[in-house]
This record gives sequence, C-alpha cells and structure tokens, in this order.
Amino acid sequence: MNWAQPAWAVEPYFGYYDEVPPIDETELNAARERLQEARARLPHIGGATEPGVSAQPEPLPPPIVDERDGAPAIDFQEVDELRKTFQSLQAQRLRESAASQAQPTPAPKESLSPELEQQVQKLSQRVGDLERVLVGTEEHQGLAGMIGGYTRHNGFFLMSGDGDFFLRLPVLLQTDLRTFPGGQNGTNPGVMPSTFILQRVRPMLHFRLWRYFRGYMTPDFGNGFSNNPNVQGRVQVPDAFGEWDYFSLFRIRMGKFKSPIGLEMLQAPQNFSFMERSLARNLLPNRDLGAMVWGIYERGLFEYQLGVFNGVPNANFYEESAATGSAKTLEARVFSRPFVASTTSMFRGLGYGIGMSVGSVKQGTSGQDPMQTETFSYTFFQYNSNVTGDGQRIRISPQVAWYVGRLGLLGQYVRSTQQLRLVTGGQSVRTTHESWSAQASWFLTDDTATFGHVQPRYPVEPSKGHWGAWEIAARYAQLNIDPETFAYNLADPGINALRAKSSTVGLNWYLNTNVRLTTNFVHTDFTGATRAYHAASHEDGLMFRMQLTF
Amino acid sequence: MRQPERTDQPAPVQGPPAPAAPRTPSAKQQLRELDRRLSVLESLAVGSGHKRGVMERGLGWSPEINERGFSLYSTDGNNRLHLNGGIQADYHGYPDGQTGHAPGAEPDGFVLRRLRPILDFRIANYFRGQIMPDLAPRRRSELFNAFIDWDYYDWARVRIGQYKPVLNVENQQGEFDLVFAERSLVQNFALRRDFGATVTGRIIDRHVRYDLGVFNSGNGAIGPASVPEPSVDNNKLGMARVMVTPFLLKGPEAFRKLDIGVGVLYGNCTNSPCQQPMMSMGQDRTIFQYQPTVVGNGFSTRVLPQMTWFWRRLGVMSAFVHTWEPKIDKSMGKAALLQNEAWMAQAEVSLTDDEPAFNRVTPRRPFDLAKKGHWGAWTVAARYSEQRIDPQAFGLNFADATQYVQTTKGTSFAVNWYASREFRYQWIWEHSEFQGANQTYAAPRTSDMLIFRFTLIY
Repeated sequence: MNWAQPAWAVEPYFGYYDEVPPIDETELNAARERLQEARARLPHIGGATEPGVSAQPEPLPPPIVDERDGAPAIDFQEVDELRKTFQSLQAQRLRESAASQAQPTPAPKESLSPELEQQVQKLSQRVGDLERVLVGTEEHQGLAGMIGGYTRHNGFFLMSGDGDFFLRLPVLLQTDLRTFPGGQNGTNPGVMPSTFILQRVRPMLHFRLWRYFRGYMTPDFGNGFSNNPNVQGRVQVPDAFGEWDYFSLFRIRMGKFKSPIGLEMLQAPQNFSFMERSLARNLLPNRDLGAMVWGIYERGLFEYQLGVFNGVPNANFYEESAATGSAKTLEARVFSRPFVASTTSMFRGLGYGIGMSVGSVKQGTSGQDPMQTETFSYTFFQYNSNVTGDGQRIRISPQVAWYVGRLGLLGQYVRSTQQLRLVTGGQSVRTTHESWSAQASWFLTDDTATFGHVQPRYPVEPSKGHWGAWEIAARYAQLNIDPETFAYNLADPGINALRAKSSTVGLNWYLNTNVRLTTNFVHTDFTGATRAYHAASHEDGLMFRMQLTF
Repeated sequence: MRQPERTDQPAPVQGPPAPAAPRTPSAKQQLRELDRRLSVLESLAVGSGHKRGVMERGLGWSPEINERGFSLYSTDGNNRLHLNGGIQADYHGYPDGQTGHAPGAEPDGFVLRRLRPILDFRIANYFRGQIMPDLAPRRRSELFNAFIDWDYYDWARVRIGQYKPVLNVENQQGEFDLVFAERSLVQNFALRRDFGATVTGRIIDRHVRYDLGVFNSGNGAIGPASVPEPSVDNNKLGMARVMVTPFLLKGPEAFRKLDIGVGVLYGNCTNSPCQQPMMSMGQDRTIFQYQPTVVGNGFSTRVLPQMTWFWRRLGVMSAFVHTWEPKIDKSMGKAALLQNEAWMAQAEVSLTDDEPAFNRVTPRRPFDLAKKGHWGAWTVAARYSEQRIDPQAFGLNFADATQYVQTTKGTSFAVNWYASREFRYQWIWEHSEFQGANQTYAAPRTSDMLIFRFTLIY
C-alpha cells in the first residue's frame, strides 16, 4: 500500500464528492512540465554562467508586506520590477530598431569585426533580459509562470507555474419553474404557488495553497424553494472547509461540509439525474460542522470517511450547524468499487458501501427537521414542538450504485433511530423511521451514464445537427414513520403522515457539459396512522429547470 | 530593515561574468547560441504545437465594452468569465433640514447606495449568465441578478432567471449608467426586477427589437425598489415590448440613434396589490401606498410608450405610463378600476466634445493632468417627471389622504463629470412638489434634495 501517494494523483469516482468536480491534475502537470522544459533548455537561467549571457538576475528586493486588511498582500515591488525590466526592453528595442534602420547591419562574415562582436554582446544581454521576463528564476517566476484562463476540465482558473497555488472559480446556477397541477386547496395541496424560483445560485471559490492545503467555500444566494424561514431569501454558506491532503489515504478536513453517510447526499446537485434528492434525504444530515479524516485507495477500490460532527438534525436543507449540546456525533462510511481496475468488466462502475452515525441528541431539539416532499413544497411530518431528544441517535445507510454504458442505477436505504420524550416529562420512547429509494436512468443518445458530470458526446450545435445528450430517469422512494410516534403523542396524527410514497419520472437534456434542461414529474401519496388523518392524500409537482455550471 | 531603493530607472542588467575557462567562444558560436535561445523564447511567447504560449494567456484586463473588466477566458474566446464590480457612494443633503416647509425625510449623511460584485460569464459561446448580489442594501446582501441566456439566434434569445424586465426604457438602462441619481416617477408603475422568462430578438435588419416575457406576480413586482419575491399565488404577469429604430441604416443622419416603441404589461393580482410603496425621485420619501387591506381585483393593464434619441452632444429620453388597475378593499368590500399615470422627459448635453450614451459614456479624453486638455467628459442634464393617482384611490379610502400624494411633480438637474469610463462624479438637485387629494392632506408640499455621487464601475 502506497501511503505516501499524493492525493492529487488520485481520481475519486463516486466517493466523497464536493460540489465541484476535482481539479484536473493532467492539465496542471502539463503546464508545469512546459515551464520545466523551458528551464531545462535554458540552463543559464538556473545559475550556470555562459559567455555572452546575462547570468543569474539580481535578487529582487524583499516584498513590502502590508497585512492591515488581514489578507495576503500583493507583492507590488515584484510586479514593479517586472514592469521596469519590460519597459527597459521595449525602450532598448525601439532605439536599436531606429538605429538599424538608419545604419543597415553588414552581412556577417566568417571573421567578425570588433563592432559586430559588440553587437552580439548587446544582443546577448537583450535575450537574457527577455528570458528573465518570460521565464524568471526558481524564486521569481516570469510571465510564462503566471497561468490563468479557461480549460474544459478546470473551468476558469488562476495558478502559479508550478501549480502549487491554484484558484478556481466555479459557478452553479439553477433556475426553476415549479408548478402544482392540483392547486393549493383540497386534499392535494401544493403549499407553495406555482412560481419561478432560483434554487441554487453558488459562486464558488476552490483553492489550493502550497500544493497540499486545499480550501473550498461557497455562498448560496438561491435557497428559493425552502419552507425553512431561516433559509429562504438569505445568503447561506453550505460549504466552507480547509483540508490537508498530503496523503491520499489520510486526508484531514475541518469546517462545514456534507455529512458522509448517504450516497445520494454525496452526489453534487448539478449531477443528479433528477432535480432534487429523494425522500430518504429527510432521515439524513445535510451539512455539518466538524472534522474528518478520509481516504481513497487505488482510484476508488476502497474509500472511507471517519469524522466527528456537531450533530445537526436530520434535515433536507443545510442549516447553521451550530452545536445545540455538548454531545457530538461520530459518522463513518466505507465504500468499494471492487472491479475498478478492470478495463473490460461491465461491473467496473459498480460500487457499494455503508454509512452510519452514532451520537446523542438532548437539550431541546428533536434531532429531526420537518420532513418535506421532493418538491420542497409540502411538509408531511414534523414532531410536536414539545418533543425533545433523550439520548442516543443511530443512523445507518447501506448504498449501491452501478453505471454501465447508458444505464445508471442507484439505491440506498436509511434507518434512523432516536430516543425521544416530551419536555413535560413522561416515558422515553425509541422511534425508528426508515426510508429507501431506487432509481434508474437511461441515455436515449449514445452517451455514458455517470455518478459525476455528464459529458455529452455531441454538444448542441444546430448547424451541425448535434443536439446534445438526452436521458430519461425514474425513481421510487418510500419513507415510513414509526407508529410509536403517534402512539406516544409525539406528533399530531391528524396532520402528519405515517407513510409517504413518491414516484418521480424525469427527462434530462444535456445541451453540453455546462448547460442542462430538466423536467420532473413527482407524485407523492400520503397515508395517515389513524382515521384522524385529514391532511393531503397526495401531491403532484411538475417542475422545470435550466441549469448552468462550470 | 532597510527598504529597497525605489527608482524609475530600469534595474541595471548584470553583464556577462568572466568566463571560467580560458577558451572564449567565437562570435559565430555565440550567434548560434543566441538563435537557439531566441527560438525557446519564441515558443514560450507564441506557443508551439499544442502548447499555448504567453501570448495566448487567457487572463487580463480589457476596457472594451463587451469585454470589460478583469477576465479569464479560453483562448478560442468561447468561454469567458468577467470579474466586474460597481460602487456608488452618495452624500445626501437636505437644504431645509428636518423641519419646516420642506423637511428632509432623513438626516444629511453619507450613503453606500450600491456595492455590487458582478460575475458575468459565457460558456460554450452561446450560453451567458450573470450573478450579481448587492451588498449595500439594508446592511445585508441581496441577490439582484441571476440568470441564464441562450443566445444562439439573434432573433430569439432566451433568458431565464431573476433580472430586470425591459418593460420601461429607464429600467433597461443600468444603475451605473443613469444620468441622474435615481429613475423617474414612471418607475413607480413599471416592473422592477422579477423572476421569469423572456424571449428577445432583433428582426428586420435589426430595425426592430421585441421582448416577450412572463414573470411572477409577486407582492413587490411593480415599483421603484428591487425586491423580487416568489409568487404569492398562481398568477403571472405577461410583458411585451416593441422598440423600433427606423433610421438605423437609412434616412437622416441625426436620427440614426432614435428608438421609439411601446411596452405593455398585462396580468392578474389577487392576493396582493402587486405594488410597492411609491417613492419620490430622490427615493427619499414614500409618496403613495395602498392600505394593507387593498389587493388586486382582476386583470390589470399598463401601457408604456417610450423613446430615446442620441445625436452628437445631445441625449434625450422620455416615457409615459397609463394603468388600468382593478383594486378592492377586502375589509370594506369596495372595488374600483383605478387609472393612474406618469410621464418623464430628460435631456443631457455634453459640454465637452463627447457624446452622451444609453450605456456608459466613454470620454474622448479621459482625465489625465499630464496630458493637455484631458479633462474627461462634462455634461449637464435636466429632467421633469409627473405622476397622478386616480382620485378614486383617496375617495374610496384605498390610501390615506392625509399622508399620501395625489399629484407629484419632480424636477432634476445634474452636472456629471465622467473622468473616465470607470470613474464618475455627479452633482444632482432633486426638487419635488406634492399635492394632496383634498384638504386633509397634511404631509410636506415640497421637497429638496442634493445628492453628490461617486461611481466606480468596471
């Protein structure tokens, strides 16, 4: 086992995913190699002296450090140095160009005159200066070492020539039209009216410092379709973490990020086969504050996560994640792709694993946010406000996914057990809710299904007759509330459902790797625990999405 | 530590050191070596084979109008990310203070009016998007723009998201390009910023531009402030606008930049009045607001004829709006069809040899003391605007006649100094006259406001 294998050399597949695809190291390496090659061809730049060549440039003065703003200062002196050298080169070129026009240089002969020797010396100096500007030295990179732009895999980026410092600027923008054919009344309520909405608006920052220290943060200006008044219309920070990923099998991450239990939860929202996650998300934590070690072995043959977190409630949306008690939650997940090394096996894209958490919930929180349908429009279950956690909470989630050719399959089961009681006293009750989901997707066009980012074989170009990639998808999900919940009066059986069953069909049109149109129809049936149940019997949601991401 | 000496002289280039070996290369050898080194530098600068050189570097600053600001881009230009931003910092002064005949609505003070980081991007050539929050309002950040465009066809561009519908030509103009501090009274009756979808195109040799859109009918859909909200009901607002540039290619030279057209908004509001509080032109005072029990009572219509004309040193803009709005007071059961209207006309004249523009003015000689005559562009501008609320609104007590105004007349004067495309200073005077519906009106009858504004936009 190669413990020292650097993390950047490993390609995660459907392991622990961030909101953005990983940095494409191939491109970084190519840029780095270009610079090294140039340096190799110019040995004198590295300090070796050759006749007629300007040797090691003067060391630059120390940078003026101004940290008043608490941010790393820009080294303007170094920039100024480059500028002056550049101006000098330009001025010199202009002078010599004018002189050469006035006095044409004589054709070179076998033996050169002293004047010509002098010109060769001057030319050497000019070439040396140009090398200094373009190539720089080991300590101070020249223009060729300052790299930025756009590439297909890295998107928009800025980086140092050796790739040790890297900044990437990804964006996710999802704009929806959500309609509810059943209207707002009767037994089929859409709680929210039909509306245009911005669901996710995330300008992200993804950076790496000194090669092995990685950071990622994003605000979200969307959050349009959330019933949570703490979230709607407010700027939220779903992710903000730092990571030391020197060893691929032992990466250390701290901050706010996705809890590593559910497989569906770990998929980036731009890569869902549907518009939102299934009902099972209601029994899993979303984002949490904590610390985690994790690692990937042999390109995903085996991967693990092990972390300690504040222990947010089961929630379908990310929250503040501040601790409500001193108790913490331990979360772990293992996942394997046993045939990942095979280039021919149809099971190469098969992966399975299990995630779980153990923790304690007390002090005024039930550990469970209101449960909502896949459309986010209807709350079908929530505990009474006088219910509080009273001890251990255990979640367990076996999971499997298989991607082969045009076909994508994903399934997961979640079981969440929680000790509860009424704040007014009374017996401590152990409730166990469970949920599962199974989904399948199939490309109608000749494209490849993936857990990650779909890359259409023929991006839309009407003039060439190319129309992108088309995919159909179907999902079934079910969530069962523990009947004990109603027996012990922890929730109102009149308005809270005992069971929710949801069927979703979707059509995805990937215009190219960045733009996608999605349509989902979601039908959810609700069953009450007793005849007292008088809330919605079902909900129908018809949703449309245009998504742009890079 | 001793600071290094700073000088404008180029750093001296170190000469060649003495050769270590006694054997000196011949001039021919040196020339061959120089040729080799130059080849390397050329490949670094221009690139070779599939490797990109410094010249193909996809980052930097571009001042051109469509490529403005700092940007990162792919070398084929199909993918671009612009990191733009704008700041507007004001000083608001009320010459009459807070009491007396024309009391200031707020104390004199500095105001951060707009603070907007702007991410503008183009992906795969035909897909464009923008994310623009504003960090200034109410000391919290709000998302103003977030939209996606598909502009493959010039005659049918699709936009989806949250943005400014172009029902009103004033609204179409960017906040950082306004000739005055704020928009006119017409904005009180037009869509401001909303969630929705639009198809826009230019047809007939670009002589005609059309906009067709559908938007949420949120509570704050219409009015002077940007407060996009999700729908409160299933109703939607439909918008259409046609603008014609009749002399774009042929005809009198003076009218090449004449745009004239009309916008229509039609939609239903039932659970809300679909109307924000109306503001005076300095946006310092609420001049009209419905009672909380008043909501829409069916389909309303708004018609907005509008025009712009730019010729040499002159820029003119005008708009008119007439509305037919059924309203009902839910508590009293009284209903009426209200007809409100407003109009505005403004002109800007350049004192220097520059041309006013609908978008940003680009001074011929940006301010630079080192260059003779480089004083930037100076313009003066004047505007008149008026709005009239239907008297029934007060007669049926849909609005408080003691506080709110039936007729507002606003006059603005501005001196604008465009130091460069990016920097701009404005001195603006706003004068408003308010007339109540009846003798119970007890609020101020005039208002004066001085605004000093600094704008930085890139």
